[in-house]
Amino acid sequence: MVIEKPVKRIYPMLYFIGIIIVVLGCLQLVPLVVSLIYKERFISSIFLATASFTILVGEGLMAIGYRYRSTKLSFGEGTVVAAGAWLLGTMLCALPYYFSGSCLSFIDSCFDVMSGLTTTGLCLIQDMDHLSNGINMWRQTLTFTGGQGMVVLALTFLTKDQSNAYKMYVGEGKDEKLFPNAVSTARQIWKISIFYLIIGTVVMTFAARSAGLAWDRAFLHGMWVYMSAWSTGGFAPMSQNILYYHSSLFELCAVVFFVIGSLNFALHHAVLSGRVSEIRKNIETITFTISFIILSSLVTVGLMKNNVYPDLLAFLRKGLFHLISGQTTTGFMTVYAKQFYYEWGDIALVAMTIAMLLGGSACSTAGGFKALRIGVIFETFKTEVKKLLLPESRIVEYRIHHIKEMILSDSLIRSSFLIVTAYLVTFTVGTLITLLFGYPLTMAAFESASVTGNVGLSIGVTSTSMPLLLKITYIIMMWLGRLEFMSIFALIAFILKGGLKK
Amino acid sequence: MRIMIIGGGNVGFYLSKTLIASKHKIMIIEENPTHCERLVSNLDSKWVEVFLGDGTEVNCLRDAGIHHADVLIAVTGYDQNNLVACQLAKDYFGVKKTIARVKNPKNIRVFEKLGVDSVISSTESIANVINQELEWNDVNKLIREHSSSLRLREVQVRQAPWLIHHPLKDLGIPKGIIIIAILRRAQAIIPSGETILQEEDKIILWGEEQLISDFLHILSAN
Amino acid sequence: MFLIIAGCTQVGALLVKKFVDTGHNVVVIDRDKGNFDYLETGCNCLMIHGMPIDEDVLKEAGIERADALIAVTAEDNMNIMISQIAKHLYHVPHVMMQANHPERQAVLSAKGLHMICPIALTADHFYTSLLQKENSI
Repeated sequence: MVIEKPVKRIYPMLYFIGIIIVVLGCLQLVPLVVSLIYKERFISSIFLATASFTILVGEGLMAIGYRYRSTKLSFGEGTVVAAGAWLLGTMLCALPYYFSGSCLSFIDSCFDVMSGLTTTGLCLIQDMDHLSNGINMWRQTLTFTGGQGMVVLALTFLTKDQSNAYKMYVGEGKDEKLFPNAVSTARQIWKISIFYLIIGTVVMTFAARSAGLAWDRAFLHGMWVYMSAWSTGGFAPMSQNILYYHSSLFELCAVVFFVIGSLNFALHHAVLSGRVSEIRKNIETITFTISFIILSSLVTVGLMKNNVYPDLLAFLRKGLFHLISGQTTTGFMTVYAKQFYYEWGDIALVAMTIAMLLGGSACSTAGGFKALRIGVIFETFKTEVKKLLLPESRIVEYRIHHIKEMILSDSLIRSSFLIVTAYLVTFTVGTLITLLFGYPLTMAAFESASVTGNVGLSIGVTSTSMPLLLKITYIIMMWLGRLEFMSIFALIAFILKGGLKK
Repeated sequence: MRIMIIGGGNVGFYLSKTLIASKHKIMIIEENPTHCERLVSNLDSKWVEVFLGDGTEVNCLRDAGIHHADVLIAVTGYDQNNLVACQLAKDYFGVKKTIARVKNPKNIRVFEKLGVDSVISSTESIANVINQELEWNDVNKLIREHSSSLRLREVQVRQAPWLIHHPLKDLGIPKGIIIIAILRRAQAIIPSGETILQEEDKIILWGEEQLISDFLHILSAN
Repeated sequence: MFLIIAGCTQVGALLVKKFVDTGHNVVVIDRDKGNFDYLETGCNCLMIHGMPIDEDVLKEAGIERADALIAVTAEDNMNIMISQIAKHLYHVPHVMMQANHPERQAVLSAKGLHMICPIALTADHFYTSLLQKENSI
């Protein structure tokens, strides 16, 4: 009698992908409720249909893999689950956009969903100023979920078979352990987010009210802008983005929340459990502050040279606002896209491009290289130089402060360099492809950095009229940037291997 | 006194050598046969008995005669073994006094809480000596700047047991010397004539250098 | 439950696996990095490399908020010391340890330590199951 038969590795993976898809289906109930409240018949019927369809697909996948659910996944397979769920989830989440007619084509819908889930914030959606509340709610729900991570959300519901949890968690570009168990960590991440969601919604509602919106609109807009800010997303309910509100207070509140959102969840956890001094000591906040100071002086010089914003308030609200928005990878805008290109000048645009590539903290909702990696790489360089000056026999440690004192291991240094290189390659390839379609260099670099770093500031390349190939390129770049490459390469390798076997 | 020593490495070896000089009866338990051989061949068998075995085991302790021991000193190289040896001696065999050596100074607190009578850490002693040395040097330097013959000195009361049980005013401390502070546990006490010293106290003397050294001489002579 | 397991021995690794699978927060401490190989790759727990009787290491593992501690290092005395630190200094609600020498059992249960001796258990099991078989024949 044979005791163990070979298990097709795909089955247990399908089970976990199924769970994530079901969760995404349930998420569509949120906009459904909003559209029901506002009596948007057509929209609510679409959400009802797509939600049921998504849940059905998810349940189907779970049923296929159910028998093998306790099979141990390898590290690679765990990451494949994360990447696969993102791919399939994006297509399923695009259905409401497509059927409601908000987007012109299915690719446009996928672009918008990917942009939301990766907290980028570029959009191809049509007639944004007259969007229904249901669709708007769906955009923000996607951003908010994508920021924390759909795998992280699915993990919070996982009660049994948790041994594979950590591998999937890592696959989604996060690796901090707030608690020893990845499921507890995922729950804590959501607790922190919900805690801030409540505070943020209240604050933003009052800010929107003071900007002159009626109470119920102020509440919805406040909540949406907050969700987008916290997730460093960049979707706003109106086509003029944050400019629409014409309120310094509103902009200031948004800045506060997206800066908070760009901080590491481990740091949030430490601060909320009473270790406030971590903010000062943390390598990420230090790296972020230093790089921000350098870049903001560059932007100042660039803008002054062209004399773009002569008065201080305008400079703060337009110049610095965009730099913070760019570096935290949020992508809220207070100017029109083309203004960047025609007014800002090369120096400021290059500084912006660098800021967007650097990005916020690791294990946060932000994108880019992440401050932790910049810090690690900088520390490595510093220690290497120090080594040259010391006697050869002297042993030097690489040490950083991140929540606790850490010794930099070779593997951490290697992975930092690897990921940063991968970002740079993606950025370069993206710029090249954009150039091929005839856009000028500064524009191509700016937009490409914005897409790679999941930022969402646009210089005008992104529009419904841009070539199909470019849209697909950008979708892939956003996906790569959000999941930090490795899990997507694992997915591609997995598909190729499976394809070759048959 | 009959003293049982757990651990016959370097510390155990030199410790027993020193204790023999003051005519104590020693029992050593050591796990390593090579170490045992060194102990046997280098120590006077009239005063020292050597046992091969695990000093954290009940049977071995019993065989080595722990019932007759007044003191147990655990000086193996592992903190956990020293703790267990002391606890067995104290709670299981009723040995009156247990002394343990720890490698990690942080374990002093742990051992004291878990019932070991005295805990010694060479690491901490060295650190203390260094710290004290620095402090006393600073103070004495300051004093020397103002007066060449005045000195501060620290004395352990334990060295002169006759100081205990009487009020300070009856001790006949010579004129020209004053006790400016008593260090008791972690506290510093400013003494009066009625204060009575305890065994674990340290006193800080202040006075002419010559008078102090005479007084110290008297202290050790008594 | 927040659980600390001292000693990533084979027993320790099996314990980690059992508790992780049922969704508990597990921290495992071992002074030998190589022992972490007993765990599966990408284990859903926290691994701390350090001396488990060092209070700093225990604090890093979160002993102040731990609900339970199980000491299963290869050394009995180490286990005894860890258990006592957890029980008497940090008041961890549930503390258990493994003892390899059967004769320690009497001594240590007198100290109020919950301990298990695998050797005694195995021997008892063989003894009783053989006797039962003999009786049934």
